[in-house]
Amino acid sequence: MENDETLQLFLEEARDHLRDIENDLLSIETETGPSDVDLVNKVFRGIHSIKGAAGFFGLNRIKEISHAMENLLNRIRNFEVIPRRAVVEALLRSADTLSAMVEDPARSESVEISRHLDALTAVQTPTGRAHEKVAVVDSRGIALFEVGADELDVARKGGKNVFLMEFDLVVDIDRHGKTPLEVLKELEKTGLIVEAQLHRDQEGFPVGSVESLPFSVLYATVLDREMVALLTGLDPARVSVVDLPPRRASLKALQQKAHPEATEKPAPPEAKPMPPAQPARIPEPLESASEIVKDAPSEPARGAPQASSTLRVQVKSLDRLMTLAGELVLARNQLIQKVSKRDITEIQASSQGLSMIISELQEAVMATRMQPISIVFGKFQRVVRDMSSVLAKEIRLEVEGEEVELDKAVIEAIGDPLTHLVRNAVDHGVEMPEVRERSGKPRQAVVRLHAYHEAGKVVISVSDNGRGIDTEAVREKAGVLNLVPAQDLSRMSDKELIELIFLPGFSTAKAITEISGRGVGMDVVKTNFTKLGGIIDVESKKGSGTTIRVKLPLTLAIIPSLLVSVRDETYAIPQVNLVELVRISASEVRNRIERIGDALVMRLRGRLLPLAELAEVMGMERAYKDPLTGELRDERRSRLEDRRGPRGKETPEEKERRRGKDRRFHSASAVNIAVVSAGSFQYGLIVDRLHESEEIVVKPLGTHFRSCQCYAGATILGDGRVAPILDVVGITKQRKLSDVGSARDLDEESKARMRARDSQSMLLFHVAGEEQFSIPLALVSRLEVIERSAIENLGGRRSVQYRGGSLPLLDLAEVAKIGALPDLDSYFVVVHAIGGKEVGLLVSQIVDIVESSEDFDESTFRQAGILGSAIFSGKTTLLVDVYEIVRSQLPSWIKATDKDVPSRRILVVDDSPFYRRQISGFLRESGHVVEEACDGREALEILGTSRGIEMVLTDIEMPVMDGLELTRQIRASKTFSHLAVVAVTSLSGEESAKRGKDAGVDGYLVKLDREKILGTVESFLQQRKSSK
Amino acid sequence: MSTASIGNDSAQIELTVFTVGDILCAVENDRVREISGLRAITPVHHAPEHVRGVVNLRGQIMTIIDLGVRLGIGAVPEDRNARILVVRSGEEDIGLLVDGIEDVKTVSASDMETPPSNVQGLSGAFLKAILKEQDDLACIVDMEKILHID
Repeated sequence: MENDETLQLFLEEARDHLRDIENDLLSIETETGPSDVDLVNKVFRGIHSIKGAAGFFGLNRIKEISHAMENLLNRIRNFEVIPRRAVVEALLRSADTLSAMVEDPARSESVEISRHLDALTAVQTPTGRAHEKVAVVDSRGIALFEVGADELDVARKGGKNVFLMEFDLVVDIDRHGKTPLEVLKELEKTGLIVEAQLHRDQEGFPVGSVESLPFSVLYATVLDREMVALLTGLDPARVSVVDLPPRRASLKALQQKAHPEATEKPAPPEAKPMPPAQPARIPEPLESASEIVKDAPSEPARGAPQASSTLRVQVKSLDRLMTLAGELVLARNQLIQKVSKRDITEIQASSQGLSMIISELQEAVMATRMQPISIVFGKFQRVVRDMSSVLAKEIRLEVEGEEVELDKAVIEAIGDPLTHLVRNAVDHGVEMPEVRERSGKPRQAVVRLHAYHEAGKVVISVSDNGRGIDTEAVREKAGVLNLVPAQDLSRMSDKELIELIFLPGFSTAKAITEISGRGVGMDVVKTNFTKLGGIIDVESKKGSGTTIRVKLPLTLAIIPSLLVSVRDETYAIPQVNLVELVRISASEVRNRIERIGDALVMRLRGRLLPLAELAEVMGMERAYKDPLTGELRDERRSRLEDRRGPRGKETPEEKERRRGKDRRFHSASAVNIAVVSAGSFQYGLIVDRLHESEEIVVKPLGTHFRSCQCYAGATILGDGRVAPILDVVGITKQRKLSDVGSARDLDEESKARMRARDSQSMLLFHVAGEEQFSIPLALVSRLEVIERSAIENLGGRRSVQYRGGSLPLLDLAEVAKIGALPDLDSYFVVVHAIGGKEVGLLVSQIVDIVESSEDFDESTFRQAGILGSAIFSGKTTLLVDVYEIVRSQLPSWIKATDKDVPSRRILVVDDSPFYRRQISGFLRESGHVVEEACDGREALEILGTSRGIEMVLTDIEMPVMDGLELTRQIRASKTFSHLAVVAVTSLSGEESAKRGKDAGVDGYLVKLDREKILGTVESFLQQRKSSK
Repeated sequence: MSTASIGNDSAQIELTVFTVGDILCAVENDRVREISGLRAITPVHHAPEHVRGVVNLRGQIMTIIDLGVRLGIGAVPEDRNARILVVRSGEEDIGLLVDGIEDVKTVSASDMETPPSNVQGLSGAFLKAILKEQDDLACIVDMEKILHID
């Protein structure tokens, strides 16, 4: 067998032809109407050229099977066979085998193809001439070919002549500096190659000597004999007209007479009457199709598509590379010259030019590696079609963005995981047609593949409009498999539950089906994508479908990365894994970083993030850089979060130390954290220093590091040193960090903090000294500054003339045990509206307004006028209870609002124990009966069991089931839809109010605004009463 | 039977002789691709103990094996004399960190002897043969065993 470039070229071309054949055949498939002639022609041409060249290489089996396919395609082209399902099926199966044979030509001769040949013949109508063979003999009377008579008929159409051309490979082709393929190609420009054959003896060796290798071609063309000879430079004596046997009055001939246009030229399809007897002879499509599906696994080499080691590159790209290489040489010469002159400015200019050329060159080289994603997407039409026919589902595959290009290496690696996602969508995502109909969906489901660019990356989404992920089933299954502790499961939100499908050992399919296969789960899919620097994300809604999005880098070879260092070692973190950089100043470390059990966690915007110290991950000995001397010293402090001094207060000695030498409070001991994402799981890596971001070239590490999970490779830095590239996924495995794992270690309180929580704006202020107080901004009407001289003291009450009235001024120190308000020239007044009147709180200094989702500790600092405490901006802060201050200082105001109201039953839903108790507290004070729930699910349970509830006050942001969903469920239920539902939230803004309204809430109130909450409760309950 | 592992008695063998600690070692010359001066070794944590790290060898990341640690006689210091012997292993180049290069010489296969189980505290497991020449004794290291990944 020729194992040379020509064969490689042929194989590559054949692969090219076969790549699109599946989709083309699927598009050709039709039950009734005429098929797309252009497409049939395209497939025909592809198969035809494979056949022609296969003959030349002596790949007879390939030739035979493509020949049989070609025949069938030709008849489809001539509207003699309707490309029904069974027909296309037979073609597809043959194409599969053909592809396998092309991938492994050495063994193609031993592939059993008779099954396909039979199938291809069976789906055609026998015409009498289909099997008839005509022997073509050469000038010496030796039979060279056996050609089907029908084939010759076809070849002769359009007034063509059929010639037998007897080349000699050595004399006619080699010596002219051509290759046989070139000759065949040239011939194809002006005609049709019916057959081509390199003549071999029985052992498979070419017949003839080294000086002569006979190679004959059966060629149909409109040209005459002389022209053909002229064109090919072949001796006219070696070109002979093939005499055809006289046409017999076959069935086909009769048909042709009846419809003369049938074979003359492809007429407009609608004018094409089908041969009447044909449909009946086509075998039952379903039967044969399923039969073949069953056979599928035994097909040769179907599993692993050959990763081709050659790549087709446009000549244009090569030219560009060549040009750049030329410029590079010029630039180098210039540089050498200038270096010898030692002219530093000139050298700089040259090196700049050089660096530009190099960037361009890099881009151009990368461009040659880019391939369209259609290479991967192409196979899915077939996958979806085959699977849906086996599963008896009706599915349409929509593909968008096939032109998006990715690096060859990425393209090669995403095939398997994407196939898994598509199979999942078809197998698990899409329901049976009857089920879909029952739930009011169209019978035919849509699976959609979409590739698009987003922010320098490529996003591939696989979505279906099927049943969606049943989060309850996930919860149940995770419980049964014991993947997550039961108490955690019951609290998980839908999103968190969906994430569980990525856990190893999870699969929601009730039965392991043949199709989705076994063993490979979503965890493997995720790992595969993550290895490519991809990020996977699922979105699913029960009943309406699932979308899985994968974000991939364009290329793997050069990636933007952040360089970090620990001690004197430098590491690279791929930008794709990087979420954000956090620097925690020395003074904040104590408040932001905690140790829970053995796990280090950081508070970041209301959630707890697991932390890992890179030095520890790498197993380095603990040490720190002395901020004053720069020396490395052993770390005495064993715990990072250990900062001296009790919370809140500082002794004078500690203050002294902070100003002085203690590095724990020195700015240099601030903690630098790179927050990275390993799939959906995020964690923080503590490093000594964060450096610049750089484009780095990824290079593999040697085989000795096979067992190291922490590295994704290595790169060479500007100074020539090597820096390992961190594998953030591998580190989680090595450190056994995990979302679920860390959640398990947290105590209840931290967990409550970690869960979804709405944040609110808090006003921070001082009354006296450094003690910090806060009030929710939502309760504040205005801030004013007043002169001390403007304060009036009347009957033991302080007030100020204000907008034509008198504004009572309250002093927190008179109610709570705090430092007394100092004598100042001016004060700030925090103005509140209570009971329709305004009241001002005197404070010495306004500190800040902060966004916070902190929950309050209501026990430690609870006292008159103080609701509780929380940490804001690193300081313990007391939450002021304005209502209680007013009640103690202006009791008459409160009585006016505390009317005698009938007792009602009210359900308060809030995940924060602090807020829940606050709201329940003042409702109970007003004489109502209150039930409490910590999330929407619990609320529904209480509604289901408890009688007489008239109103629901609910928080919006809650774990498990949020307030909006709760409202929707209440509105959707028969028994509770009449309930008044009021959202009590710290979220403000029209957007959230609108969302609430859309979900069906009756009112929207701000947490801790006792006045308004009570007022609203009254008015709603009043309305209910009057409407009853 | 003393020379079976190296070749027949009359064959001439070219050796690169180097030191690891105080011990004279040698390796067949045709295994050595180049001898390189010491360059900055980047440590790679979690690698096997005898793997010292990686270096940049003309744009390739090359793994460095500390031959001292591998042979059980202590880490080779990164000093002026230290050298890296670059050998081929499968598809990659591996650098062997040694204390210094002594000599390149041709010896006769008949001078080879089967190694004892222990030579000056050095385990015989990594040795192919012992070269005995006058007063000198050199250990011919078994490259396959040195490079083997456990």
